[in-house]
Amino acid sequence: MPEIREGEVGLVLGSTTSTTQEFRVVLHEDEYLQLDDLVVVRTHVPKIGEVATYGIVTEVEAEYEGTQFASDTRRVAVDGTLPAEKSRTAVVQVVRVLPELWVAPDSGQPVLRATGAERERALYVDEMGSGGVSRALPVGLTRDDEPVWADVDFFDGTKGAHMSISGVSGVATKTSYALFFLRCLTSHPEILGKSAKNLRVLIFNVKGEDLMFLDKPNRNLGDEARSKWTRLGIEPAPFPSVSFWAPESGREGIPRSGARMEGVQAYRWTPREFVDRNLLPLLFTDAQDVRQQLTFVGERVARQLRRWANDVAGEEGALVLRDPFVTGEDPPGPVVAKPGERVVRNLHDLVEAIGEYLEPENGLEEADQRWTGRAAGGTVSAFMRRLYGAVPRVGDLVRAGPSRLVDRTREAVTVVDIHQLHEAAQRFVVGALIQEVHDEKEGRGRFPLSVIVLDELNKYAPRDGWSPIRDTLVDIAQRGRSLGVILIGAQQSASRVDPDVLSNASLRVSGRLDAAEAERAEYGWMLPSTRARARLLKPGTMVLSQPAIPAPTMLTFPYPPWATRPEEAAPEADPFEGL
Amino acid sequence: MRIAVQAWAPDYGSELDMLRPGEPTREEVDTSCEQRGWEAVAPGDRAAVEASEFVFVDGVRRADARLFLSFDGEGPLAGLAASVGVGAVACDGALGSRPRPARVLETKVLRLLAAAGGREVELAAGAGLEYRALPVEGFTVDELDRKVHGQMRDAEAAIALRHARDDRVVFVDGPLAKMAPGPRRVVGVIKSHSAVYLEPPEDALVAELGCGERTPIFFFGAPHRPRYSWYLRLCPPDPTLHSWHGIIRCEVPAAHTVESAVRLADCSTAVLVGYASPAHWDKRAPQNLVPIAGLERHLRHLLGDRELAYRLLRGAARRAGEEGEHVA
Repeated sequence: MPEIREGEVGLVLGSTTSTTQEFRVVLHEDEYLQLDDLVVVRTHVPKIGEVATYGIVTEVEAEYEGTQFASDTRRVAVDGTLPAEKSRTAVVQVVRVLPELWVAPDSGQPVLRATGAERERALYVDEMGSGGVSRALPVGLTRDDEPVWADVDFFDGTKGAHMSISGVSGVATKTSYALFFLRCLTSHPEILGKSAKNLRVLIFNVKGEDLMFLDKPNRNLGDEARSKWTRLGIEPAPFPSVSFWAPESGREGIPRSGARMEGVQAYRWTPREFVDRNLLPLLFTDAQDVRQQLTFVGERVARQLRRWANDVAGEEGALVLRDPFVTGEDPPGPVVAKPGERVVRNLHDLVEAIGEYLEPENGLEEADQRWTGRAAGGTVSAFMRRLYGAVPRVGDLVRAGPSRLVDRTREAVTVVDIHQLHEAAQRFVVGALIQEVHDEKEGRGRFPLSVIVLDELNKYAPRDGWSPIRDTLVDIAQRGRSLGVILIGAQQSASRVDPDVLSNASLRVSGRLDAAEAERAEYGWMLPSTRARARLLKPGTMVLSQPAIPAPTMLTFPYPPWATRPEEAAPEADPFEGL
Repeated sequence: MRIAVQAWAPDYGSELDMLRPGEPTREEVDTSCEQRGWEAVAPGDRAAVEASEFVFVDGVRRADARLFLSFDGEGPLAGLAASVGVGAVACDGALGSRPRPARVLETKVLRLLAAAGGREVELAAGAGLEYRALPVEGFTVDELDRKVHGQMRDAEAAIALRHARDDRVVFVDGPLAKMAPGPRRVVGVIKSHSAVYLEPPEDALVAELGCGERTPIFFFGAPHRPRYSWYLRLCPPDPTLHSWHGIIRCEVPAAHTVESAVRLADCSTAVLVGYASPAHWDKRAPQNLVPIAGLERHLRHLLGDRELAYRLLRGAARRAGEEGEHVA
């Protein structure tokens, strides 16, 4: 037997053709290849010299060579009457040819496992970055704990932006991966360079209290997970800089949060902020609202509110509505409410005040055309009904008093809790904050970068229907690269998300998919074998597609060093100790 | 009238080629050597078989190209480029445990250029296709074919003898012919029947054999190739087929004692039924035993692609012609 080279696992199969896309490997008896393994083959090309073909294993096969009938297996394996040879082969998808000369690897050439520098070349790590500065960010591990890299150029807006994460819910991988990715992002300033400076992340806590302990160590973190984090070049510690925000409970400054009270700030908008920031349209985000032309009325009313609103002296954030034609002569600044004049101190007051113009109570007066435009009476009534309907759902979020806006500049990561809010209120908060990030960056250049993590993207940017949030998200998806606003969107099914939002994401990640979902065109970036496996992925395993590598990469990510539940938060020193 | 269709596929010739009523045997046959009545012998006791392995030996041959050889303007002589493959497969014989998979012990491929008129001609057609000279005294195509066949038999014999051991029984496909295994445990297994050895009324017993039953052994072939032989049936008799369906003939040389020959006969009835091929599985079922069919498939594969050999032979012949010799 001729000697087998170190690292050689088999030979390029010669009984079927090799192509520039795919070839097969017949494995040596005491070697193996598994899915996602990386291999390299060297082929001598006439007139050129040696060409290295790098590939990724997409399927592994075994059979008895020389058997014809299904029953032959028994003759070979049980009866021991039929001689046959066990043959094991692997199917390899070509990912790179160096130098770039597109020839098929020669049959019979030795196939080597790609390790070390060869592995990095197979994953295009040498091409990530320019001018000697690497932009390869570790974003996961392979099954054998080797790092997988992503080209940050395709995330921070240099060449592309945004990340889209898909996967069935309940496996808890989408948000987990988003957080893991953020941790990688914020832990490698040397790779991020300019993008790392003052990087701000906005993330919403939608379900349970998963994200309310990002700054607390996880007591369940084991040594194995620790070493995995270390392999990624990241210290296994919770997020160092996080601020937590929960909706105000109705009592001044007291947040309505669950298990965690300490370190959580209350947020709400004053009527003045509500009007100035044009938040009224965000109360009309239901798909039905568009059909009924309510958004049209809403826009007009919002415009009028901005013109008619006057601050009230001595009451921070409160308003009175006055006709600007009448008050035009008044000095600017807060006014004193006249007796009997309605002072708007919360959403209910505001709705009532609007109602005075749109649906006069006594029923004799006509609706004020300056407020309704030419909308039909029915539409105006529907608008008012919807507005009244919003009061109990969103009401607590709008109240006069000292400003309690979410301050995203306080820490690197801002967690906004919305999990206890009604869905309409969730949409309101998300819409308001995304709009805020968007407007703030408009015309200010890319840096510092703002990252928005948004789960259930299909709710905010659905494929069908329109909403003001969807508008903003589409704009971020399309122009976010230059705005410096990066979206990490997650959804159960990409097929239900606006295609503009999806197609602008340079990095695509998928966890386990529903079988029918996996077959949809939105997952065309997966190989057929990847699609088949996407139904079976375990929590903690994802598929990553990035423009820098022509084949999707399977990766795992380690257990988080931050707590995701109150029980996981490591106990702090007992305050009653010694008493 | 009853019509029975031969179980073998027609492209493999006939299982039976001895259907000349009343033709007497040309051999001196002794049917009394086992010293028992002329009646069916029940299958041997499998547990009594002492062998850890059964080895099956077989060969295949293929005519790669017919050639015509001209020397110095003389009229062409017949030539034949042939490939021969021989090999052996071992199957576990011990009872009680799950057998290991059958394994190919040895294979050998010969490339032969048979040339009439005793000429020695070699031809290298390509890698693995170096045809070595095989001079044949005769001139007919038939004589060339027989010579190549003889080479295959010789190679089979060499392999059979090499793998014969006390703890093995070697079954060779075809008659022992030139092989002289002496008292070693080598049994020839003949699938088709063209010669008549038994005469009425004794030959009637063959048609009556049940599955795994055999005739008593009989002696013939003296003085050139004296040997013991017996018929056995590999499958249950099928009334819709002819009466010799599933019959094979086995032989061992006379170097064995009668007792030793009987032991091998009982061994064959105990063992070979288990290796018989099912009807759907092989075109020569059940006589083409499973390990032998598997080996043949393997050997044919080793002979390589026939069309490629033909193409390379034509190229080599043309080159040889340019160098003076004429091979067409």
